[in-house]
Amino acid sequence: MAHIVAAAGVPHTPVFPSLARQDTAAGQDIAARYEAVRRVVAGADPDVVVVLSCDHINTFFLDAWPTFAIVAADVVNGPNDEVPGVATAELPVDARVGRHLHRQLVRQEFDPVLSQGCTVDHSVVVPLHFVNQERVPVVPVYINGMVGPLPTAQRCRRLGVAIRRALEGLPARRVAVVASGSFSLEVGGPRMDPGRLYGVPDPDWAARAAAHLRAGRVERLASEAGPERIAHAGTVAGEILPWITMAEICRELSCAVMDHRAGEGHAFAAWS
Amino acid sequence: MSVYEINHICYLASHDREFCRELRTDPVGLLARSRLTPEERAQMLAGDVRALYERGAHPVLLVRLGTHRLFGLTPELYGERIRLATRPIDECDDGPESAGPGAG
Repeated sequence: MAHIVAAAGVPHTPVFPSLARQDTAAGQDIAARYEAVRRVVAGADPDVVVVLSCDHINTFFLDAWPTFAIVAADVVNGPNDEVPGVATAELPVDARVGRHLHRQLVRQEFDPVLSQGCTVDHSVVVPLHFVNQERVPVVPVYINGMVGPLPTAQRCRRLGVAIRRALEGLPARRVAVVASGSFSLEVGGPRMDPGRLYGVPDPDWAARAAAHLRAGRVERLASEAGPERIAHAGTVAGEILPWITMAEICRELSCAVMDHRAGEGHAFAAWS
Repeated sequence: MSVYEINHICYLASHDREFCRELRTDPVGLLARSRLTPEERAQMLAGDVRALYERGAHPVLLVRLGTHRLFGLTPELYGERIRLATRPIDECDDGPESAGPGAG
C-alpha cells in the first residue's frame, strides 16, 4: 500500500524563478518561502509527486476543454509558455501511476481526460522548479479553474477523496501531492492594479482560505468557495480548487508551513 | 459574434511563432482571412481589448495581445484599456455558475 507522505501548495507566478535568483531582498525572500516548503516535501522522501494544477489555456484549448485531466505521457516537456530564466525541458513523469490514477478514478465514477502526449505550462513547471529539485517523477492532474462553469469546490473535495483512495491502492509508494495556484488573483481582467498585469481583488478571502487550510477545515473551505466567491476573487481565482483537492487528499497530515501575508492572494504551505 | 475565433487568435499569438510574426507584419491581411466579423476585426486591429473582453473574450487569452505587443498594444496600454471594461454579458448566463470566460 502506498502512503501519502507530504503535501504542499504554492503559487506559480512565472517571474518567481528569476526573482528568486536575484541577490536582492525580494529575491532572497521569495527563495526562502519556497525553500521552507521544499524542505518539508524533500524531507518526506517521496518517490512520486502528484501535481494538481489549472491549465492556463496552454496545454488545452477551447476546442476540447477538460474539467479534469490526468497526464500519463512517457515524456512531458515544459514550460510551453513564458517562464523567464527557465528553459523548456523534459520533465520526469511516472506514466504508470498516471494510468493507475486514471483507471481508478473512472472506477470511482470520475471521468478525467487521459492525456498521453502533451506539454505543460508554468502552472506545473514553476512549483516543480522550486519544490522538486530532486526531479522525482511526477503526475500532472488538471482541474478546470479557468473557464466557466468550473467544477464545484465540493466536487473537487470528492475528487480528492477518490484520488486518495486511488493512490493508497498503489503498491509501496511514497506519494507527495503539490497544489499550484492562488486564492485571489486577477489576470487580464479589469481588476488588475494600475501599472501591473495582475491584481488581488479579494485579499480577505485569500486570508480566510489560508486560515481554513492551516486549521484543516476542508469542508468549511469548500462550502465557502462557491462560484460567486471565486468569481469575485479574480479571473483565475479558480486556482483554489486544486488546493481544496490537495487538502482533502492529505487530510491525515499536519500543517507544517502556512506562510500567508496580509494583502497577498496566495500562500506557501506544506503538510507532513 | 465569433468569440471562439477571438480566443483562438490570442492563443495562436502565444503558441505559433509564424502566426505571431504575421500578426505583426500583416495584421490586416491575416485577420481578413479569419472568421471574425468586420466589427470584431476592426476592434482587434485597433487594440480595443475593452470591446473584445465585453464580447466575452477570455482575459487570460486576451492579455497575450498586450504581452506580445500586438495591434499597437503594450502591457501598460492593455492595462489602461481593460480597466475600463465591464463584465461580459453571456446570453446563456443564469448566474455565477455559468460565468463565462475566466469565471470572473
